[in-house]
Amino acid sequence: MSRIDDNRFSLQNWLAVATGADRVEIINAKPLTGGAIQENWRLECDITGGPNAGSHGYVLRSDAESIVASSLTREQEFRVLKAVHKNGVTVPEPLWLCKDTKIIGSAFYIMQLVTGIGLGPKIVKDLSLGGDRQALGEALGKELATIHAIRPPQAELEFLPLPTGNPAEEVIKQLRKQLDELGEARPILEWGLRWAELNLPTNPKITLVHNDFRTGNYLLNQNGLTGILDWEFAEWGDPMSDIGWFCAKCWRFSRPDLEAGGITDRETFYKGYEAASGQTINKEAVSFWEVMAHIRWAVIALQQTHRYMSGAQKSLELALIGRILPSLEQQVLKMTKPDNWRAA
Amino acid sequence: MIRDEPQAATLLAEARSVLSDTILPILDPSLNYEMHMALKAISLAEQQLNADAKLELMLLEKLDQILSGNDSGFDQAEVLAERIRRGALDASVEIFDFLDQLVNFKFLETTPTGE
Repeated sequence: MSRIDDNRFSLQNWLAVATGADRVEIINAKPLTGGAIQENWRLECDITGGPNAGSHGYVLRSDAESIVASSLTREQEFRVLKAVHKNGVTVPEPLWLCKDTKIIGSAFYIMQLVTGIGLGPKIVKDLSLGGDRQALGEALGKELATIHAIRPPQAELEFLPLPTGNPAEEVIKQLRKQLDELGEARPILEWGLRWAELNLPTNPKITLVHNDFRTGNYLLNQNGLTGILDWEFAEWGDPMSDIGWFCAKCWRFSRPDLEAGGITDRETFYKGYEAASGQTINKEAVSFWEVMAHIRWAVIALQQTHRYMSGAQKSLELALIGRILPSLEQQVLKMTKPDNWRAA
Repeated sequence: MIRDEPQAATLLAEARSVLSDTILPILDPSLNYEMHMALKAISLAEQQLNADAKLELMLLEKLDQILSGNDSGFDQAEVLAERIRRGALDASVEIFDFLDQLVNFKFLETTPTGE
């Protein structure tokens, strides 16, 4: 029995109040894949009475039972989702937030069900998904520009701290701290971080950044994009960091030749972004953030390996994740050769 | 030869071949992902067992040389990482070449062959 089954009655009652209905019946509740940190449930509901009467598909998103730190709370994520939805970003519409942890055991929110395929390796291989790939590349660029059009201050996003200096310096500091906490010396990652320290982007703009915008975190149907997901790392930061993350080689899966997320060439993606934002992409800054993307992903992989080695979570997938480190470190070195360093 | 034949890597290769050629084709498709993960794990273990021990030793000796016989009591990798972080080895071609050899050695071990 899942906790949704265990708490079906209280969830139905809560949904009835939230939707202004006489009665809500959950016909089917099914866990959705793809959330190590959060749980996502597909709910099929029959609503009787009120403005939402009828059959509806929703997604319930809550903290997983084992919470991993360093992401927004569900309430904060709900508010980010509201802000980006209001600004025209293609996301599942956020509907209702429940802060009462007694309903299902943790806070959660409900969003409109959006269908599509999200698995990165499948998306880059299966060309029947997403419609014309050039158009999709441009559309993804446009979506990112729409996210980056949100600038501080925003009253509804007051919980997001503003960077006090160059966001890149802050990220370097965080990554070093995470490496220290792991207690494992990684000379190649240190090499990359030292290079980064000497090659900081200058005068970055500060905008809302998704901070995990990549192939694998959006859904596609046969025609195109249906929703951008996983907003748990959103923050104020350098918009070029999202472009670097999206284009980083580690997120192109089996299509390293298609530099924009394994979907299309970089120019097409940039064209969509620049047309929608009216801003010219700072290519040097993007290149910097691509180095950082590989380091960041390597640190996450190390954290997951330590999680496995500590016995906190047994999983073959988790046991294997550390094996991607050499390919990430190789990429860091390729981009930080000695002749590519600014003088200290 | 202290160990009897067939050795660990050969046994793993044999087990992998049974799983991929005999079991996988008749396996319930809902378990394909798990089977591919298991095959990958076996393949990686084989790679590690077949790794060139001489090359590993050579890399360790080179690291010792770079650190000029560090006797600080700390792990060699830890000392190297600390020196890089504090900026004592910025843009060093010698260090870059060593790190490049190190990562290539590890990369070979993590590239599965025959899954």
